[in-house]
Amino acid sequence: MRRDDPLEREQEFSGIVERQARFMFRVAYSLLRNVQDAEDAVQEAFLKLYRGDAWRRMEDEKAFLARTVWRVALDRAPRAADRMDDVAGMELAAAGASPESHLADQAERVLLRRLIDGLPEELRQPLVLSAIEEMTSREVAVVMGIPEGTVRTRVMRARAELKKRFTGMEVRR
Amino acid sequence: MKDFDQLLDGVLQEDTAAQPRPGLEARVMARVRMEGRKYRSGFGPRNLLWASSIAMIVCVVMAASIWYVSDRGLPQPDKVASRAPAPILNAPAVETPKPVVARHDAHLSQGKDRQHLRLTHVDSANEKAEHASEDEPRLETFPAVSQKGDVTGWFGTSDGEKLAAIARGASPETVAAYQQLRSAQKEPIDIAAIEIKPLQ
Repeated sequence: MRRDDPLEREQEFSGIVERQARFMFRVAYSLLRNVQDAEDAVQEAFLKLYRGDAWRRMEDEKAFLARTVWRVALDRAPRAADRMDDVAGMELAAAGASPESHLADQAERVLLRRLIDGLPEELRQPLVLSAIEEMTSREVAVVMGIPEGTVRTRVMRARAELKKRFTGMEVRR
Repeated sequence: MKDFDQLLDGVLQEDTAAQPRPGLEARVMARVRMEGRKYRSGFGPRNLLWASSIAMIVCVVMAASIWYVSDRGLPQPDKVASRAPAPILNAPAVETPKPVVARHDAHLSQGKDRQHLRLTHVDSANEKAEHASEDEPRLETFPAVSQKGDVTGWFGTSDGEKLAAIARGASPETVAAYQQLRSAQKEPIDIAAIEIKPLQ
């Protein structure tokens, strides 16, 4: 077992926190959609890492850390979901919103965000992770533990599904 | 539908552009340092795991040793204390020496008593115990053989004591030998004068 100075270990870990904390926050936020929850997930992920030694052997630092915080965020996701409004209720609200009370563009964005939240997890997760600028489809595949080709397929399916739902609601409005 | 794709990308970018509150790194490192102090003070999860493992091993060893001792049949204090008293029927009867005559009378009267006891069924355990002591084999001579050899306290110089000793079971030869020894001890001892001749 590798044993060294605790202060040296702490300094080494501090460097990782400085480099990757914000990136990890974005990964967590993409799933949780709440700043407080995302910060808590980041802290929990870093603490889990610090208790072990796996962080000293990571080959792809970004993918490894993204996977760690993603798992923590997944555990917290149900709690965050409880705070979200019902998607179906939001659809009704958006459909009934008058142009006078909201800007049209703002209403579309709100509606689309709710439609994304209403996607199945297998489609929503690769879509939101792929949108994070720093992450390639290969890294998304590592985080989710699925092949890279599957990530691309699911992203395309997610976009198609969103377009179908969004168009249908626009027609109703 | 180019507008939709632009709209979707814009929404996704907004979500991913979210920023944490200032000082996230400092907060994370504060918790990490607190965790590090726990490790250094010996209360880290790894040390607790070791301590609990050692405690468990000690418990297993103690349980195994207790089981081994009990399996070997060695007496356990709690077992002895909790053991039910053995039936009095099986216990050896402790008898105090009784006079020969009285014993003989009892022996004579027991024939009738036994027959009477065989006819009457007695359930009481205490009564059974009393009868069990009566069923034991009786001594042919009294006192017992082990007591017979010990004659030193019985012999005197008078003829009456001699007879009493013989009546108690000592053989006449033993009595005579003991009397001879006692009389020899009473005679005065002559010590010859010691003469030391000068050296030549």
